[in-house]
Amino acid sequence: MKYSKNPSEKQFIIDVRSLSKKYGDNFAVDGLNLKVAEGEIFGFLGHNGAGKTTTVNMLTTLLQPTSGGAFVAGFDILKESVEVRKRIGYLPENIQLYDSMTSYENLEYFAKLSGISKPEESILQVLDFLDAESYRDKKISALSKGMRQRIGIAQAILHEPKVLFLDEPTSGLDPFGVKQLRDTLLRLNKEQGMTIFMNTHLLSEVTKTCSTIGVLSHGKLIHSDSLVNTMKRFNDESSLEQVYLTIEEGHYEK
Amino acid sequence: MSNSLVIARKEFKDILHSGIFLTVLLLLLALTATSVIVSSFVFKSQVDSYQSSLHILKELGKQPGGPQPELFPLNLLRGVIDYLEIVGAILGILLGSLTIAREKNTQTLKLILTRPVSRKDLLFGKMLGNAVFIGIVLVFVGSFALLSLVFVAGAALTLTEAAKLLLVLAISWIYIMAFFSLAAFLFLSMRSLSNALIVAFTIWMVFVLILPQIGDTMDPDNQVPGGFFNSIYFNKEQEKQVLAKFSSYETARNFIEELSVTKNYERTVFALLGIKPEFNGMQVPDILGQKLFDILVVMLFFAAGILADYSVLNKKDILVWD
Ligand SMILES: Nc1ncnc2c1ncn2[C@@H]1O[C@H](COP(=O)(O)OP(=O)(O)OP(=O)(O)O)[C@@H](O)[C@H]1O
Ligand SMILES: [Mg+2]
Repeated sequence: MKYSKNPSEKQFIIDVRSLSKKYGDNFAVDGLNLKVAEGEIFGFLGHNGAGKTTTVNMLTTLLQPTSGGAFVAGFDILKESVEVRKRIGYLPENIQLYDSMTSYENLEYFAKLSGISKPEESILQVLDFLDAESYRDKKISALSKGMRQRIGIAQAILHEPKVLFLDEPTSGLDPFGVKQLRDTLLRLNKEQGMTIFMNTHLLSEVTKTCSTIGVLSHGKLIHSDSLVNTMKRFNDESSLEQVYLTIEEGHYEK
Repeated sequence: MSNSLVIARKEFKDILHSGIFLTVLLLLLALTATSVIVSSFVFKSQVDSYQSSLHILKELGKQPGGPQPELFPLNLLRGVIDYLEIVGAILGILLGSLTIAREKNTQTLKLILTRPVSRKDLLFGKMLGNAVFIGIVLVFVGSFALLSLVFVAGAALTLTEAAKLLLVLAISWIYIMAFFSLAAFLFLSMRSLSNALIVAFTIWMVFVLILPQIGDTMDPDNQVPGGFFNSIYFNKEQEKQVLAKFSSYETARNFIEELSVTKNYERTVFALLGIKPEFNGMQVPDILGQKLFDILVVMLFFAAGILADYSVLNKKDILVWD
């Protein structure tokens, strides 16, 4: 594995270098530099239209950057996209799967496309891990949003990726679903050492789940630090919401 | 490669599970079957009436005067081709649209593309699954035509005729797959699926209905039932002399017809089936040689479709819209 190294020998599993994406005359992502260490749960914050989804789409090799690049799990997203894809899982915003197929059939299809030799074993394991065995033979069309989300996560972690990208995973979930998702992510991180990159708006969740945060504003990274340091820097007593607004406002004043 | 097979299998299953699509397909097949059976009965009655008049002549103690009428069983398949031209193109367009639209609506195309599947494998898998399905439909149509020719019309096919039938099926397959790739291209590259549908059907109308129709209408020989020149008692030689005077008109007509891939397909297949009598006695390689240009156009159309699909798939941006 050839993760890029920083001076303190810490390994960065995501290493973004001057990444930009331009739509017409506007930069959706503008010269983004960002590093995430292996084993972190990274919360990527930012206002609507800040460029979070665009960033994730480029890191998951779906979208071609206008300029710059990135290494994910040690591989170049531009030149080694297949290698990158072998090592990432992706849960898009509002995931939908093949409606007319059962959960199992959906997972089997994606398992095969991920090159898993014994899909059945992996699928049963993952369903067990997510406490979702009872949806196994249900058609996706018969699942609630929360259940569907869990099968979506199953799809993303089946092949035991090194990095899991989630785009607004809590949107549309009830408090119970949000808690379940949080527990799942924490367990994945602890038990499998999976690095998690999560776009989100839900600051209360960030406080409970993430170890590091980055704040994106109009395509530019305006803050990136561990959650603990961030809170310290902005006075421990204020809520993350307060801190977030201070960061954003400070940026606007400039 | 194995990825392509996984994708192809799923494509194939999806088609079989799509109830509405299969209903439409069955309806179209029923139409085609009716056409074969009706023409088989017509053929049989022609043979029968010839035999019975022969019988009457013999009873009267006379010898039959003219030569025995030559009946070519493959001629009966003209109706099938008329359907395949129109319906086959629709079938290709429907399959090509569905294969992309389905995955765009559900965002699953995004998921597939974050798996270690190359875009070439994705395209090949989708084409393969649909190609096999179209192949099965055509084999079905071909076998039905064959059985009907043998059992209803009582005609026996020679080996050459069987080979011609097989070639007709192969060219039909390319023709349908060409429309498949065209529709897939439109649905991949256009943001709005409803606009893609409108463009696909406009192209279908122009290529399949309007251009060939203009060509037919401009053909002076088509204006009178049984042929214009026949009706004024011109023989082939005289007809040629008259037409030579209108050569630029003929060139224009021909040019318009060549613009439509459907006409190129029709010319090739009609030659193989001997719809125009001069091809009936010809060997297969000679027919193919004469129709080489038309065959090439159909193949080029298909190749261009594949290339367009591939280049669109490789333009990463196109796949990420919500
Ligand atoms: N396909 C596209 N064509 C043109 N502009 C686009 C396209 N996709 C995104 N944009 C623009 O790029 C900017 C960033 O969008 P993006 O979806 O990445 O933001 P986001 O941070 O994910 O927002 P949200 O929180 O609303 O999901 C926005 O201004 C958006 O309008
Ligand atoms: Mg977004």
